[in-house]
Amino acid sequence: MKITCVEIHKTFELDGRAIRALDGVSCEFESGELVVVMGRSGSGKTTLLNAIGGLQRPSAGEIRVDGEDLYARGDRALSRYRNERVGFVFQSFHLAAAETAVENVLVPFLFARRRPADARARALAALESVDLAEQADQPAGTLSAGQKQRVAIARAIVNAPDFVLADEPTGNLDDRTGADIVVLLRGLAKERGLGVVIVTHDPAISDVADRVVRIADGRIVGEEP
Amino acid sequence: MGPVRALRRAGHNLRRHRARAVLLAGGVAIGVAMLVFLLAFVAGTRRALLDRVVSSLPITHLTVVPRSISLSVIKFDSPFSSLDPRAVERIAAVEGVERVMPMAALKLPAQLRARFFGQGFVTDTGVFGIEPALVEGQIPSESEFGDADPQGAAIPAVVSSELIEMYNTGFAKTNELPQLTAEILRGQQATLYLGSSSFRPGAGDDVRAVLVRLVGVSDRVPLVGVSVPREIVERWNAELVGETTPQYVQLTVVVQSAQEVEDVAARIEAMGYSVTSGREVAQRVRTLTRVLQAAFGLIGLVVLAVAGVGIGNALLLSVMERRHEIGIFRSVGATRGDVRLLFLCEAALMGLGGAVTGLALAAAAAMGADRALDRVLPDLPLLPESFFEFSWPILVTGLSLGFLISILAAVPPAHRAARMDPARILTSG
Repeated sequence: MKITCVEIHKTFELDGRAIRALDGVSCEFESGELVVVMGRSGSGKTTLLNAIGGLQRPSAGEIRVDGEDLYARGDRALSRYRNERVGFVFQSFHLAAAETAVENVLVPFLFARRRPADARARALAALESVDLAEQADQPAGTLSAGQKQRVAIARAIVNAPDFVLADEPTGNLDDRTGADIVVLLRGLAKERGLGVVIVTHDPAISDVADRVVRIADGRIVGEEP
Repeated sequence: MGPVRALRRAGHNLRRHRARAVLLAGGVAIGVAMLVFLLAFVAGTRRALLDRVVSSLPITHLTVVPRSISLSVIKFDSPFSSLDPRAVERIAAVEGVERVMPMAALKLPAQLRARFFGQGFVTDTGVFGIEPALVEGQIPSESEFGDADPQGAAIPAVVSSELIEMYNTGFAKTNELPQLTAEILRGQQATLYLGSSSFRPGAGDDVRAVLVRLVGVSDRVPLVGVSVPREIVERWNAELVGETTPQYVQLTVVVQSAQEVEDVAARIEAMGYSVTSGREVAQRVRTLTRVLQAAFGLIGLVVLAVAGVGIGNALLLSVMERRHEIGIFRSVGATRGDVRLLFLCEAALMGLGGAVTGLALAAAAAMGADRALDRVLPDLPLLPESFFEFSWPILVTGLSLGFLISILAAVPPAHRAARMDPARILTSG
């Protein structure tokens, strides 16, 4: 799968002022590569991630998924895209603390067109792939921060998407745990041929990236290699 | 997301937020309970009143009395509408009339003396002469109630069943006397002293003593008095007060069919008489209870609406509290419609649970109220067994209104949840 951003702009209204989050961004992301989008806080990297994930419509420009304009579709098709083609990982994990790890991982199947008969087995397999099989029936609220982020990653991959979109996935973790999570994402990208886009301001993560896109003031200011 | 999956998830969410769900469903339960309790009370009261009216005055029976003239506080019968045998003939000839049953009253005071359970019993009483057909089906052996040979034989008499009820629940209880039943009374003999009363005790030739034998009780005879066959009262009036032409106190007119009752009543009224029908009384009872039902229903609806507003506000708060959950749902593929459906399903389940609980609460409150009324009003006669009637329409109304109001209250919060921007929620930390 290939995601192509063509001259995308995004402007927000804040206290009557127009804030330009993205200002003519054009870039590409492909399955199988791990891309790190680096930039300071407020540079527009999260807005870019949400836009390619079908969560936030750009003010102008086009996001093409395999050549098709993503936002030309209606709410139902965009939701299906989020359910089947991409998986999100957030800095704050966003897990239901009272529910078990496996219940959290099963959530995407709730909105799937057809819930697979082996949904639970697939959720357990996803947990196993993030080394959390033993904690499957443990309430998410009782897990450590690193384990929570692993549950969030399992939730992102359970429906076999083409892309995992991670927004500051190490932001709430200590350095060592953060490094483990990055290694895990790197491994998933290699093993499953997943496209992984990580937005971060942590330069250490760029070491594992296939490509680094630098963003500042809503513009792409550099790309390596 | 299909409705079944949504309902299952909604049930899961409610179990997870049990305290809030119980609180919200409790509001619906109280509203439904109040509505159903009040409606059942009105229905029960109406049933009790109609039971009385219909049993005492069948739907095809009309009661005809002389039209009264009212001059300020003075009220008297119109001399132009007296009920004599000619009037009976004229009314019997009215189209649609099947039979006319005149009721005569003894034109003298009377006293009844009897012995029940070995105790003497004396009371002033009215004496009425009725047609045997009036109590048809209400006394065990109608052949016993006829113009018996007055020479020495006891005269058959009927008393009001309501009078017996009043005696049992009032006088007998207060004076610790045994309760009377139709079976106990049947065959009892008493003496009627015609021309005697507590105010004017008569003696000698002024008073005639006659033996009466109770043959049954009926709710179609006058409340305060002893009813005997009409010809006997007419004979006593002729012999004791010299009445040459009988003057009746009322006529019971039997109409050929229920459809003709109103037309026949109108024709008799046109002849200068006052007419009351069981249907008319029942209609008045129905109208009154409908007004009460509407008023009480409105009170119940207001309570339910307040509960609905409460649910709406609480759900709005809940939407704000659960915004991250909503954001995650949207990020993993929930459409706006899915989010809306989830909140509506939660409200529907709470509404249904609340409404069912409300019905149970109403039934429990009605049982409690019946018991309390039974204690507070122990000696009042003519009270129904229960003041409440839980009919299917009332139960269905309560259930569906509780359910519907919960869903309606959930529409704005559900809409708000569906409109939330997931990107903003999920990146706000």
